[in-house]
Amino acid sequence: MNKLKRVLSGTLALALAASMMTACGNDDSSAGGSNSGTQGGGKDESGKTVVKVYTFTDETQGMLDGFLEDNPEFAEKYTFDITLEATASTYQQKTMSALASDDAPDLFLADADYAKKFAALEQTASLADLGITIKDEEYYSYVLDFTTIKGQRMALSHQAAPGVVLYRRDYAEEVLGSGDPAEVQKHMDTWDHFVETAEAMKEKGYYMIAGIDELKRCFMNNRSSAWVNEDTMEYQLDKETVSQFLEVTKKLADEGCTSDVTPVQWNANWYKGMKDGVFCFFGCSWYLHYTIKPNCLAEVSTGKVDPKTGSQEADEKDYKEGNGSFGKWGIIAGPAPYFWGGTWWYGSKKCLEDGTKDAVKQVIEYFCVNDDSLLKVMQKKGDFTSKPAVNEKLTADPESSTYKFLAGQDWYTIFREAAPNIDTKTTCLYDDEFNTAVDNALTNYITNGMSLDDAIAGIATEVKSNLKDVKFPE
Amino acid sequence: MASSFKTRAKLEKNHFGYIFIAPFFITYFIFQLVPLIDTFRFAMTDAVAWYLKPNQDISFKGFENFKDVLADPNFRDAFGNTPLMWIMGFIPQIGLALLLASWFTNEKIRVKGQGFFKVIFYMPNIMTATTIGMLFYTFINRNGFIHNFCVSIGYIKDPRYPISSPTFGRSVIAFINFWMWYGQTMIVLIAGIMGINPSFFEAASIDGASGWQTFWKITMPLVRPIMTYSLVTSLIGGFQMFDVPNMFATGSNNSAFSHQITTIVMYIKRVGSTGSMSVSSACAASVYLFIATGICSLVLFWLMSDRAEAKAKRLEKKRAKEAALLEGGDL
Repeated sequence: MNKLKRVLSGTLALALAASMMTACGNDDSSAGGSNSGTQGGGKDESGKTVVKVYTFTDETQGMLDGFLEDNPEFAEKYTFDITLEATASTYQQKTMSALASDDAPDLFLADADYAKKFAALEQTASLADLGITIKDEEYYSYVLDFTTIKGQRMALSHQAAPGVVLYRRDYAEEVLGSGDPAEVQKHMDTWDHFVETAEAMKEKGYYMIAGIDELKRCFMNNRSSAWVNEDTMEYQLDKETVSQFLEVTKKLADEGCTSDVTPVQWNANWYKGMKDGVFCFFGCSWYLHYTIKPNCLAEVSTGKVDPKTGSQEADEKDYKEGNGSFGKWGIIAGPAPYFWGGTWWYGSKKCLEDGTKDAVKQVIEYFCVNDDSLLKVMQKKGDFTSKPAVNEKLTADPESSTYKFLAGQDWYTIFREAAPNIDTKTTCLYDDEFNTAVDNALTNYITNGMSLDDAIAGIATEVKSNLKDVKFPE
Repeated sequence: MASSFKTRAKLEKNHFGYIFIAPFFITYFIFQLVPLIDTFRFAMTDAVAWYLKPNQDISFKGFENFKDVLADPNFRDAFGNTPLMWIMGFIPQIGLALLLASWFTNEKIRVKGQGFFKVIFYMPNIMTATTIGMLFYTFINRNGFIHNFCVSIGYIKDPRYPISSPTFGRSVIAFINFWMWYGQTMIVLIAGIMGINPSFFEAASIDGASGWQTFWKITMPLVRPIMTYSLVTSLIGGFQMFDVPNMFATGSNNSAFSHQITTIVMYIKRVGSTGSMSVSSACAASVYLFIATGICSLVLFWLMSDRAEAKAKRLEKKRAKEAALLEGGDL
């Protein structure tokens, strides 16, 4: 009996230990979520070569499906394995750690906030490595400059995202006397005029903008220098523009021209303002299609409404006049040129070795280099491309919901005029971090009663903690 | 012969004991101790996150990171915020837990539906901290009922403005921690009180002690070890506070008082995983956290240990020894 007990307990202990070991060993297969488990360059069940794709947007799936339909020969040889992660910080971390591992993606995408960071990674292959040749003059310079590291072009974007101002025609008519874009632009062409218009709006009971961060991108893109000098890694502050930004915003907030005295982008009151009560929003090309158009609707039939923020996804049939503020919007260039976002495509060094280089090259060329395919894709999406020549051919479709949303205005004209003015001299590797610090400076100055100088000095104090390679003045 | 066999059997049984506890120590060694030592090692280098620079040359920097981190006002603020918010939450937490525990164990009161109440009080602990953080965030943000209340009583003049008082922010965090953990502390204390020999209470009631006297003279001294346990575990958890305040201070939830509720772990995460991803500085900050937690725990142990009793025990031992010597002397 005693012996039996001993044997039993011994076996149990061993089983316990063994189960632990197997638990460790099995981890790899379960990680990665949607991945089929095949590495990039490997073969799937049907013998096709797997091209591993990491993306932050659900657009990519649809775009690549369209690509496969258009390229049947490619579809016979390759298949895409797409990993989607929509949260910006998680996506960055996930992609960077995947790139540094054996199971690296062959093709990956980035948003403007971290496009430069991704371009600077060791594992990113340059366009020259991929064998992609482009003519620089065919693109808006900002699209290329943005991801150029030490003279090497690292990525391409199919999109250009010139910043514009979207405004309510009905409010303009009531307050400014005319809802016509050319007339409204006259009331919004400088910051002084902008503030005057805001005060007029206030008198009639309308807010000029939603939160205190609405003007941020427009002002920040018009500084005289980037936050960090790329060569010397020194901190640079354009105090004049930053003070102007804080002061204009504080004036608007104090006078009751903002619906909220907090940063509200991507929050409930931002989306609420799109439905009613707020005169203008600072948006861009993709923002027009994906953010303001669905969120101006009072009701959507899809039932896809974020319970926390109220952000909604709409169905084509929801887009009709009378639903929220649909059809009451106009588009103008606004007080200053700027840009907001973009989608850049990268090949990894891994794809150079695992036999997917040609596939990656073909995909990037299809979306970002060849005029015909680019025109076809973007005309369908109603989006704005990175190549001026292609944009000349894009036409607003009078049947499209965006056309009706803008009460018949051709948005391409505004984008075509705005895009060449975009300048990337104000962008640096760490814009993500500085954007947060600027938000905090705004809050400190406007709601916490800090002095202007202290609030601006606080920007450097805040980012000093996590930007160890940047030199700050003593 | 028989006695020697018995000892052998006993020894072998102990052997099995070692095998049973071995998995814990192996896991502890691999997943806790080695990374712990690595933290000290990395804190002395200039390492950044491995995925930012997979082929980096790591060089030794000595105590430079420790100096930098200590000189960083953000770190010092975080180091002040964390214990402050912990204490603000822990005092009401242990107070209420003690009160409830003594009621639930009191034979005279015999609270009805004890199980029901215990479950209700423990409930907040089952929910994830993120959910609770989110819930409270919706209460205090621009459209929440607490914000609306502040507007209606005139504390906030213009409803477009957020609640920006740092004291308010810290109180919310402290309240959430209190609300999430008093149930857990209560259960632990109930177990402690149930472990007290009932004859003490019986004797006290026969002697005519009031409920108040029984609590202070019998319950309190005898649950002290359990109190120490709750205090120390809560202290460690408090220093590592992260999830709840993080819900109020980052991304689209950024509050006006974000800076005043930033904790040490939030600072560590920001330094190590954003911007230049300086893992080494994050490690140095972690070492400070480790040292602070260690010192505070030791102080607590020392404060809570029954020094009078220990002294009495030592005295008793000494007497017993002397007595034994005397006995031997007699023989």
